[in-house]
Amino acid sequence: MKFNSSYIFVKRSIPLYFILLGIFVVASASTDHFFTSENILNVLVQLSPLLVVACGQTFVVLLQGIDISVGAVASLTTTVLALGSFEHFFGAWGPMFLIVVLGVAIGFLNGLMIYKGVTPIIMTLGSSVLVKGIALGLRPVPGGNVSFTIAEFFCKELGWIFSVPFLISITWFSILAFLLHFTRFGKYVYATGADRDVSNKAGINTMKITILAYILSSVSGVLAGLLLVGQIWSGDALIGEKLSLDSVTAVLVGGTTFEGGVGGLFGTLAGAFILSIMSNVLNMMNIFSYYQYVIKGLILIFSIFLSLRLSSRKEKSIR
Amino acid sequence: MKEWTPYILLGLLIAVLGIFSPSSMHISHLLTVLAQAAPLIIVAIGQSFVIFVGGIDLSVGSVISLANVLACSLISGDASRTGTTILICLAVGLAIGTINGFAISYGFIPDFVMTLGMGAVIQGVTYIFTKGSPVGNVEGFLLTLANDRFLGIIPWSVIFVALVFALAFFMLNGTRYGRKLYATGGNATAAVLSGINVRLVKTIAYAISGVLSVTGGLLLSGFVRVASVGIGADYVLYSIAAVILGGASFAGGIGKLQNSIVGALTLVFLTNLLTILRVGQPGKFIVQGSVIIAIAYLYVTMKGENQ
Repeated sequence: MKFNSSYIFVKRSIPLYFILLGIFVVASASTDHFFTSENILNVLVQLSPLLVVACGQTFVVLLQGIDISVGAVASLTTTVLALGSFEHFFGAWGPMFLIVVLGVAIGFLNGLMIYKGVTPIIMTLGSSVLVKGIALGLRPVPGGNVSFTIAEFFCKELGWIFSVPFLISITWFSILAFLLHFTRFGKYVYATGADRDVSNKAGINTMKITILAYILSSVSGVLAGLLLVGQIWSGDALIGEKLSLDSVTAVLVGGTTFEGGVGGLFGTLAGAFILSIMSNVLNMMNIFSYYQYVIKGLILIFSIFLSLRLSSRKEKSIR
Repeated sequence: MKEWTPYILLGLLIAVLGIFSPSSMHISHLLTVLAQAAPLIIVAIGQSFVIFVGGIDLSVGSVISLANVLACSLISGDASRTGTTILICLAVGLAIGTINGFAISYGFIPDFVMTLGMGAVIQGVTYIFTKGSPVGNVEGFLLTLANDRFLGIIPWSVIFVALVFALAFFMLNGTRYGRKLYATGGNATAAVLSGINVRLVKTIAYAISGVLSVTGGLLLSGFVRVASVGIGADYVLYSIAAVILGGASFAGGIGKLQNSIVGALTLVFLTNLLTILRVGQPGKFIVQGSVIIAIAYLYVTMKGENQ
């Protein structure tokens, strides 16, 4: 039975927090510069888009799905915000309205098609190419100007280790964690992920659940795009691409598995932190960015391998 | 109806292409298009093996790029090194594919996580190997294979693709391995119970995909002549799209190799049509994405009707 209380999913991710603590201690000990407030501030700013996207991705993975299109959605967000002309008509926050509507539409399309039976990876690969095309159409080369008000807001530092992007990402995490672990919707996500047919028979509207999960993932992509705008102050149709792979990695490192209905957001939080800190430490140890591809790929593979070893459901995996 | 859908789609597309640009219906132009489609067709054949067995290979793009930079730097203008280079590249592809298949079937790692991770690792290795600025160019055999024509009419690459196709077709439809592959893709548990070594069958399918990705990458190197990081990136999407356009089921066990070829040709002609209509790269992405979604949905609804 996986229809457990949310407490179980907090408990399940506790080992990850010890790993995180270990990485933190090793990082502080091995480089002088790691444990300074500027660097922690920096890590948290770098973390924020990844954390936001990974939170949305968690819902999708819990449903035995995957959302490859989030990276493209984040990129599209930066290009829409850098449109410029839009502000004349709707004010500085006008483009935000447009992009949220677009995000919901993309998520709706993904969720609907996947519910109808299109394989998640095909659907989101298709929509990611579609969205990438739109983003490249809006901005073939990186550039453009984002409204000063918006860009400044999304990169504001609030003193010590706090910044607006980090607070936004933590708030988003809290909202989604509340949704997933403390509401009926969350319970239905777990149920649908574990067994869609049974959930249907139990009277859950699994179509609604699937569509809402993909909308959450897409909107997370939009929010991540806004946070990226705070980092680059312009539009770039390819800037978010790596978020797709990274968010899946964070979710899997966080112990959510593709078997469906197993895992949770507290694991994802730890997963995102582990990835960001490792990336920061690798940078500070002057490890060339090329090696980071290799390391990230290996982390992805080994984390899922470990979580499968640890789970007692091995016998199911005859496929 | 479903049987014929891939052919109807391709036929319609060619008809539209003929209307917009009658000159592109000339036989020599069609052969040129076929020659350019050769690398994609080869990679799509590998992808077909994996999808028929119920998996997916997202590492093909990185493998193609690796084959390209490896071949260019090893040959680097000296045609006499071609033979050894091809063997080394094929061995690398075989190793990558085998590792993928082994981890997926013996380590129970989900197929797309494994191949996505492997793709990232290989991409990193390619960058490390080239230090970001790839060097060298291919010579001799690979250039001939990609650019010359048999009797000045039929491109060698088309003949080569036909040979690869014939071999793969025979493997799938004329050998015990092919029957085991379809059985495994259709119902792995039933296959295990009837004594098939499912894990070995899957591992071999991924190994074939690895080898064919490298083969496609080598042929592509013949076309572009020089090394270029990231040259294979688009092939992940295109190879999967080709198999989908061919109507294969992602549940595995269903699919025809000839349909995947038709799917690959559909993609190539679609891209050609968009180029003739002067649609830019953004527009191409939009159309390709929409077509993939629409066709995937079309086949899903058709499957529903059959049941």
